[in-house]
Amino acid sequence: MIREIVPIVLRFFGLLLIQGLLLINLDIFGGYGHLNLYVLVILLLPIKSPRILDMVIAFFLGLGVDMFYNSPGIHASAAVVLAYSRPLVIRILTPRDDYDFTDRPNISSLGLSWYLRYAIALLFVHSLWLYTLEAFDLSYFFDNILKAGLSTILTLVTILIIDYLFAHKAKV
Amino acid sequence: MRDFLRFLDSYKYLITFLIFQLFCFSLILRESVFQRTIVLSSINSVTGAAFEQRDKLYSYFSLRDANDILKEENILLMDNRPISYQKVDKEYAIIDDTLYAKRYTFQYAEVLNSTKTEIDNYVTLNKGSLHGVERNMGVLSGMRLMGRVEKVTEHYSLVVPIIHRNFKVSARLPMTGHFGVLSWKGGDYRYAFLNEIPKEAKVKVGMPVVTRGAGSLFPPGIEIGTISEVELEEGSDFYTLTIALGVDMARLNTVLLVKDRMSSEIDSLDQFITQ
Repeated sequence: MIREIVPIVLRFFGLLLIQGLLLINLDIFGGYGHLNLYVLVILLLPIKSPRILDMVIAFFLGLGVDMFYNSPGIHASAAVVLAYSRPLVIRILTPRDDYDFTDRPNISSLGLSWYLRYAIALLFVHSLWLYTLEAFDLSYFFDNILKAGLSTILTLVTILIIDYLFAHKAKV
Repeated sequence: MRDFLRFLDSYKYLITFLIFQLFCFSLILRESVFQRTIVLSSINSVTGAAFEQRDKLYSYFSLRDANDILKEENILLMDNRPISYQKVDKEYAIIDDTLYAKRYTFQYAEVLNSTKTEIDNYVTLNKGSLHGVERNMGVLSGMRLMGRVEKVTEHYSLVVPIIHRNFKVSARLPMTGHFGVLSWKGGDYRYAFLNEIPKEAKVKVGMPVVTRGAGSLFPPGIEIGTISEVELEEGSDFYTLTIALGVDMARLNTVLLVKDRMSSEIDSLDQFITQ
């Protein structure tokens, strides 16, 4: 149990600080690409973790990010959407012989193609919700789609690199 | 009752989700209506202190930029000092100091954090109400218009810069005398828009744009930027001008806070009008 919780807590505060103090000032693709790395906390939660607990974690994570970004409620709302839709995506992507209890949502456990579909779907839902809410104006719709697409790609690449680094480390 | 419990049980995830969303949306809407939430902004004691610690680390790397900006400001100040002027004619150039009352006072603050790629950007400063910062004070960077103070806590203040959709300022074209409203719509942080300049005005690319000084935020004549694109829609009586902003949002270090000592008087007049 402790082994499950400690990394989650560490990731929560570590990624929150990285997001709020470093990634907040990143300027890629002229304001269209945002690196929302903090969602990794939710993406890496165990596959069978309780859904309500997921949403609670996501909510407080989002509020924390909102404090740095001065956007009360916006990141929190998007993070809760992400946590709520995660089990749906996991269910759609169920492998032929179901998940093992020890399965983790990462490449070494479920393979690259599963992980890509899982991450792209969730990242896109999260960022589209986030930017739509942030603009709060439908005339920005196509801007938001573009932003969501670029941010998804940017975040995905970073997540893949991190996954590769840490999976590599675990084997050694 | 058992049916109700079963109903609750089968929809418990959706219900939790909706409760969270309700809470988030109430925060978002209340924020845009009242602008009062302090706890969930970057000027609360936790995030403010975090940014301050980061600033201690960062400030060493931006010393050169800070120095450049200070040099620019010094040149501007030297330009305006009496020693750089020569009396044209002893008989006609009379300056009587007692005719002038000091209206604006200035104060420095350090930028702890600033964003430029969001759709609504913010700047966090390291001076708060303890240092005499008040809501609606104007903020200049390198003697150019940067924003206005939106929220203040004891030690920190939050600035709404030009590149925020809620920022509007009355701007003037000193070469033609026309004035309009400057605003930002998201996108590139180096450009803003100036509307309501009538098509009779002879505008040209490269013309300077300055503050009009209406209202109580900025002294008149503060540099905003230059016209970079002139657009006149068919059938419209007004130009849409793209303004290249003078302030460099990518390298903010030290900013100047402007306090208008007449602001309460002007505000009370405004109140009188709205009543």
